[in-house]
Order: sequence, then structure tokens, then C-alpha cells
Amino acid sequence: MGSEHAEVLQGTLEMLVLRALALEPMHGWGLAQRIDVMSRGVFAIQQGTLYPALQRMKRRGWVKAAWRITENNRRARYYAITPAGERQLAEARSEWERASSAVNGILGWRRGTA
Amino acid sequence: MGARFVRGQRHPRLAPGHGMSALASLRERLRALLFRGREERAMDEELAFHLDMETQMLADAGVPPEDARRRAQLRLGGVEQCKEQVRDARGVRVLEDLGRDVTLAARSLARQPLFSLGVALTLAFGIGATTTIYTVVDGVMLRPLPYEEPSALVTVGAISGAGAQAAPGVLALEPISLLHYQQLRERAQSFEILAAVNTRRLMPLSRDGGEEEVPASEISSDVLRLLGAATPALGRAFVPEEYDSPWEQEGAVMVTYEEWQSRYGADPGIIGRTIGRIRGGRFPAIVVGVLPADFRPLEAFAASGERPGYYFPAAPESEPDDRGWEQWYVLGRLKPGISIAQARSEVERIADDVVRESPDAVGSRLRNGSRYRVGLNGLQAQTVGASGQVLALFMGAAGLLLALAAMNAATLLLARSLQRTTEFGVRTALGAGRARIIRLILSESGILVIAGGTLGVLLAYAGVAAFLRYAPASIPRLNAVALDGRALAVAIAVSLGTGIAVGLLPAIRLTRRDPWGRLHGAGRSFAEPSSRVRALLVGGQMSLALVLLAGAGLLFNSFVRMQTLDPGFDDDRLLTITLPYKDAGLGEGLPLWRAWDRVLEELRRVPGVLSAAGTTAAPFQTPAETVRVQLPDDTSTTWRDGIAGYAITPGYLGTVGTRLLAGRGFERLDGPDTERVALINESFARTHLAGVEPVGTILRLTENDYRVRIVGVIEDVVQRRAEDGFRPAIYVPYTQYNAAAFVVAIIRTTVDADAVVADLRAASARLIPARSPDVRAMGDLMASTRTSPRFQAILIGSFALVATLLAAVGLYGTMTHFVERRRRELSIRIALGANRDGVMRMVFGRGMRLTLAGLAIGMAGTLVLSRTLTNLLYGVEPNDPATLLLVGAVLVVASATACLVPAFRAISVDPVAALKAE
Repeated sequence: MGSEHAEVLQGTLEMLVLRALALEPMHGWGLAQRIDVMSRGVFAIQQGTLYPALQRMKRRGWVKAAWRITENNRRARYYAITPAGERQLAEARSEWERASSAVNGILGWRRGTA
Repeated sequence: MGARFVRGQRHPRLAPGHGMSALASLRERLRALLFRGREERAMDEELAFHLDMETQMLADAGVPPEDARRRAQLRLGGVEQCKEQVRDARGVRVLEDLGRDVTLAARSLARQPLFSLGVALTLAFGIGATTTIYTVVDGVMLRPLPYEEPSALVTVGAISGAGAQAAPGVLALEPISLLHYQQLRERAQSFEILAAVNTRRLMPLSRDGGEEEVPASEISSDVLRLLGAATPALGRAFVPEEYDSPWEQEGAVMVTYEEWQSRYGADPGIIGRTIGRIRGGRFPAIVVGVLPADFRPLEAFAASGERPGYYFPAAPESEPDDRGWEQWYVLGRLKPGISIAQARSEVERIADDVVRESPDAVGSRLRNGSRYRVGLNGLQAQTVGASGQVLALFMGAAGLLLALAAMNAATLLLARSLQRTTEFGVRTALGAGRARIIRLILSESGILVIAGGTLGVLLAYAGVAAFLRYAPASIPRLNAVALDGRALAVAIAVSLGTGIAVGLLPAIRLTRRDPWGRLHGAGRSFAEPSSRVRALLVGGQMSLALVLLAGAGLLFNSFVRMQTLDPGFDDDRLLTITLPYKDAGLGEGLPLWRAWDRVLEELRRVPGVLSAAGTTAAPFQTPAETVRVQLPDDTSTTWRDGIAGYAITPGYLGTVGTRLLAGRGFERLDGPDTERVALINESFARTHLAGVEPVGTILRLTENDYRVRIVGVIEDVVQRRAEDGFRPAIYVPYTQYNAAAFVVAIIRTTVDADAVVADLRAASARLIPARSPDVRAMGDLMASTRTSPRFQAILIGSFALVATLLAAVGLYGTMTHFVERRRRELSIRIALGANRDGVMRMVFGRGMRLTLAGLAIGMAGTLVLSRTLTNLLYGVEPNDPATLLLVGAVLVVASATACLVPAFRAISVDPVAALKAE
């Protein structure tokens, strides 16, 4: 049950992370907070999901990481989107729109009526 | 619901368009692997930061600080679990584990450096030997010849009377006459091109103001095109006019690439230079071009190893006398789709027609009464020829050595792993899975195999260099031998195979039993099943060592027999000097015999020279002439073939030490204008003059109506090689012979021959300033005819030596382990008063049983395998009982020695200490 929920998250997670990082570089915790806010509390991202995902995306070259000092004067690892990440985000977004409009069509909703 | 689509979204990422990110991914993984420690620290800090921020947030929201941290931890979930997932996400899990296994294995091996080095060396011997021999086999036999489409190339030649095979499926072919070759060209349909190469001959070559004779040959117009060598490395190929050029003028010559490199330092200015004389030494030879590298059309025919460095355009039509002479090797390129068998039957058919229509074309063989037949071989098969058998023998021996080395390494690894049953028991009990233990063991054997393989390849480099240096010149194509990628691939494959074979056995044996039993009994009561495997391995090594040792023994025995053959004369204090008689001031206008006299007189003046005589070829040299003779009673078409012909000075018999058996020797009176006389040897008299009084018989020599009267019979003397046995020979006085370019002076000295060499050289230099004379002790000349058998014996012998050592080490290891395992049993026996003799007998008995069982199997194998040696042995049967008994005894002694230390260790067991240790 929980795992089904997690799967949904995991699949979309990378897209959400890229979207958030497209705004500005941020550290892991900030990213979790930002997604929480952006999704109006729908997606609460666990660290056990977030950090492996970041590691995977770093490996694929979509994000890069660097140590910086936060405004509270602490060392934190900041993640930033790379050009490859931006391409990926655009691709994922158009794919998502295609998929969701198709789903919406099946479920009988018109675009814009919801 | 959306899950499916969202996950489906991954696919575009993997599309090939994302090469960049694949590369980045690889780099990222590599970094993760290389900087694992740094990655781990970064991850720890990052997660700690996350927790701190979460705590801070809760605290800011009013949660009491002492509670905030705990609640934050609860919210975030298991940190270790998260870390594991991040580690997985790095994508280098498998590599990391492998790294850990390898580190562990390396540490464990480093704890027993002697053992590890021993196993690596053992494997290195096996892999090195195999790689070395494979490299040679590849270069000589497997690689296609360096010509265009070499598989379509064939040779055509006359089958010698006996129809012998040079190698299985390869006919022994002899040159044919020009007339026959021309008939073949006109009639044969199977060939795209037919071409001919003359038998090797000598060309006087100008050098440093003097002259020396070098191997050269003639090629017909199509040889270059046939071999796909029409484009020369430098200059130009022969033009058609040069093939038809008149005999009586200067001529063109092409130099082989190798000769150009070595003698002329690759000087491009060689084109247009006059380098020597051709056509009986009468006309200058002018270089027109350098042949492409690896142009060796005669390599298939001449087993002597001497390769012509110069080729002339064959102008055979202008030599009408030579048309019936059988001196042409024929090369052909088959038309596409024509098989060797088809071409073979066609040339046979044509030969039959030629025999019927123009008997002149087939020379002596028809007149000899036997049927004239021709044959056809693939060029590559004929080039490899008899060397194929020798190389196959070497390959087989290397394979046996490899098998032995692998068994040896397996024995050692097995012994070691059994000593570690306790260690593995602990590891298993602590949760290491069977797979993990197998991985660890395989990592250990992997490291050893890589070390052994690397050492083996280094050994192979040295081995190939040594092989090329010492190999007899009769092995063809050694220039194509090089340890390259192909050989390395084989070395790697062999190492891998060995590694799996060697490593898996202990792994399987070890993980079979339960950890509890292993911890409990500490491995001491489980000896039986694995000791059976080890007995097999040790026995197997003994068998293989016996086979190798027996082969080496037979070859050595045969070699020794060749060495001790009676050459028909005393070779002590005997020297030969080969000198051109026609040189500087000696040759001009002087008949041959006057020049010889001058040379011999000068040499006789050297202090220490007892006597000096001249001949056209010394014993252990190839006779300069092979003649045909006719007896008075023979019909006009009957010729007796293949008789060695020599011209000698009167002092020859005395100097060499050959006795006269009947009649008289040559005398001063046998001059150029007196009656033509000859001496024959015993073999001649026995073979051709049975029941006839030889002295006084008149013989007819060769085609010109040249008759000689036999005046004496002398003892047999070796011709080319002692192991060929004595053969018929005929001798004529040097005054009645005028065809030699060289005089071979034979010199008997009163003191040690070495002491005279310098003075002889000085004397020769006075005679012929520009040449350094070829002075050789008769003993060296003898030895040089036995380089092949000696090489074979030494090579197989060194394999056998290594094999014996390895087998003994294997037995030693097994027996040491046997004693270790029976410490308790032995100590009880000794405590109960068993006498030490009995204990020793027990250890020896066990070791010897293994050895003898192995030897019995090895003996059976030897009897089967040694038959392959038959062709290489002289005077020894392949199942020679004395040799086999001797090598068996050698292995028994080696085994007894290997058992000695373990046996002494057994009787020195201190019962109290051993039982306390339990």
C-alpha cells in the first residue's frame, strides 16, 4: 500500500526535483521543503527517497553538487540543474502533459474544466 | 494509475541521443568508486545537516529542544537504510564488493608469500610454455603465407622414386625439367598462373674488392605476379625483355628486402649498381629493384634454411642444354573453385602424356626404370612440411606441462583451503554466504592466475626470443614469429581457463560441508573425500611428468646415439677451410688443380699442420655433386642415380684417415691428360657392383660420354649426416675435374686444432686478402648437422625437468599435509610405542603408492604417445625399455626425496604436544 504511493512519488520525483532546481540551486533539505510548498503539501518527500534520487540524477548528469555555506553559516551540499537536466525536464514535462491529458480524456474530464 | 505513465517516461532518457549523459554517468560512477571514502563522508555530513535543519524547524515551531531532535529523527526515518539506498544509487555496488573481495584475498595471500609465489610460478611455467609454443606454431603454421590469396597457391613437382611423404598428406616433391614445365603450362587447365623457380645456386658477389659466393636463384616471369608481389619495395620488377635477354650479356638482378636491409643498410642508391657477376661469373649483375618483404618462394622447397638473397630473371630458353635438367620448382595459383585433388589428378594425367610423347622432358627417372610420377601440394602445407610434426610435438608437450601446472596449482590451493576450514567455518557462521566464500576463494585464485599469467607472458617473451635464437634453420617462416595480440589473447584465454579449473575445485569442496562440523572438528576428521581428489591430482601429475620425461629421454637417447655414430674417420685435430680458388691472383688462367696446389702448399707451411688435402666437400657437408652412373652391363637407358661425387687431391685419404680396401689411391701421376680414373666406396661396391671385381671396371658418368676406370675401393665416410647411414660415393682426381668454385681444404694438425686456427687464417689472408676464410673444426661441422635433434631434446628436456620438479613439489605438499592431518593419529601411535620405522614406512608407503599409481598410468600413456616420436628417433624404439625404466626410476627417486621431509616430520611428532593441542 505505502509502496504503491511511494512508486508514484519515485516516478515523478525526479521531474519535481528538476523543476524545483530549475528555480535556483538548493540543498537537500531545502529541496524537500520547496517541493512540499510547491505541491501544497501533497508530496512530503522522505530523505530515504530524496537522497538516493539525487545520487541517481547526479550520476546521470542532470544535476551537479557542490559544497557551499548557507545563510546560517553552515556547510551544506547544494544541488544545481545542468543543461542535460534542463533538457530532461523539458522532455519529462511534455511527456507528462501528453500522458495526463490522455488520462484526463479517458476519465471524461475536459482540459480546463477541472 | 499515473504510476505506469510516469515510469514509462524513463524510456526516452535511455535513448541513444543521450550519449553525453552516459559518459557523465560513467565518470560519476568512477568517481564514486575511486573516492568511496570521500563520498561516504559527504553523505554522512549531508544527512546530519538534514537532521539538524529538521530539528531546527521543529524547534522554531515551538517544540521543546530536547524533544525536537527525537521527533525529527522519527519523521525522517532510518538513516542507515537511507545510506544503503544512496550507496546503491551510486551504481558501483558490484565493483565495490569485488574490490573488497580482492583486497581481502590479496591480504590473505600476502600472509603466505612463499605459497603464493609458488602457485604463481607454477602457473607461469605452464602458461609461459604454452604461449611460447603457440606463438611459434601460429607464426610458422597457422598464419596464412604472406602472399595474395595464399590458399590457392600450390606446388608441382616430381615424386621421388620411393613416393615418400614429407609430412602426413604432403608429398615429397623434387624439381622437374624445363621441358616438362613448358608442357604443363601449355596443357593444364586448373591454374590461373603457373611459374617456375630455379633451384638455389651460388652467385659470386663483389665485396670489399674481393668476392664471395652467395645463395641466389632464378625466377620465371610470372612468379612475382603469382605471389601478388608484382610491386617491388624499391625500383622496378623485371620487364619481359629481361626474361628473354640473350645469355651473353650483362643482366638484371633483384635483391630481397631482407638482404637489402641487412647487407646494404636499406640504401636506396642500390638501384642501378653492379653488385656481382652472373651467368657463370662472366657478366655483371645490375640491381633493378628490391623485392617486397617476405618474398621466399623457395622456402617451401629448400629445407636447408639458406634463403637466396638475389633473384635473376630466368632465361631458360637460351640454355638449350639445360632443358632436360630437373632443376625447376613449379608454383601455381589454382583457378577459383578448383580443388587440390582436381589439380592433382590433372597434373598426373599430363605427366603420363608427357612421358609417352616426349620422354626427354622427364629426365632420368624414366630411364631409371621406375614410373615417373608428379604430385601437387598446397604451398602452405609444403612450406610447413615436416616441421609441422615437430611443432605439434612441442605443442603437445607444452599442453601436458600446462595440465600438470594446473593440477599442481590446484593441489596447492586445495591443501591451503583445507588448512583454512576453521577460518571459513567462522566466516560462514558469522553470516557469509556460500556465494561469498566462493567469491573469496575465486578472488584468491584469480589474483594468483593473473600474477601467473603475467609472469607467464614475460616468460613467453624470453621463451620466444630463445626459441628463435636456438631453433634449427630447418624450421620455416621463423621470421613471421612474434608474440603479438593473437598470442596474448591465447595466453589470456589459457590463464582464464586455468584459473577457473584451478579455483573452482577448492571452492566447491570447501563450501559443501556444514560450518558447524567444520568449527567443531576443526577439519581434522574430514580428510577422506578430499584426499581422494588430491590423490588423483598428485597421481595425475606423476603420469604427465612421466610422459614428458619419457619423451625427453627418448630424444636424448637418440641424440646420444647420433653423436656416437662412427663417421668413418677420426675427427680429432681435423679442420676444414673453405676457400674460393679463383680469387686474387690465383684463378687467372690457372687450371683448377694448380690453384688448389697453391692453396694447399701455403696451408701446409703453417706450423702445427700435419697434412692438408683438398676436396669439393668435406664429410658432414652436402656433396657438391650428385652423379648418375652406368655400369658396363647396363642398358643405355639404365642409370644409377643419387651417387655422391667428389673431386679430391691425392693426400685426401691419408689426411681424413680413410683406408684403402682394394686397388690403389690417387697419385701425382693421375694428371689431366692421363687415363680418367675413379675411386668408389664400399657402399657403392656393395650396392651396384655385387659379385663384380670393382677394380678395373669402367663406369660411364652423366650424359656426356665421360668414362672412368675404377682403380680402388675405399672405406665408407659420412656424407651429409651420420644418421643417414653410409651411401654410395665416387671420387675423381682433382686434376681431372674442373667445375668447382671452392676448394675445401682438410687439415690434420699435430697439436690441438684451435691453436692452429689463427695461423691458418693468416695464411689464407695471404692467399686471398679480401676474404675472411670459413675455418671450422670437424667437430663443429658434425654438431651443426645435429642441431635439430639437439634442439628437440633440449626443449622437451627442459619441459620435462620443470614437470618433474612440479610433480615432486606437488607430492611434497600433499605428503606434508597428510602428516599434518594425522598428527593426532601419529602421536597416539608413537605414544603407544609404534616404532619410528613403522611410521616412516606409513608415510613413504602412502607417497609411493601415489607415485606408482601415477607412473603406471603414465607408462600406459607413454606407450601410446611415444609412437608419435618414431620419425624423430634414430636407433631407439619409441618404447625403448631401458629409457622408460630409467625415467621411471628418476621419478621414483624424485618422489622419495619429496617424501623425505614429511616423513621425518612425522617421526619427530611430539605426542604430548600434539595431543595437548587438541
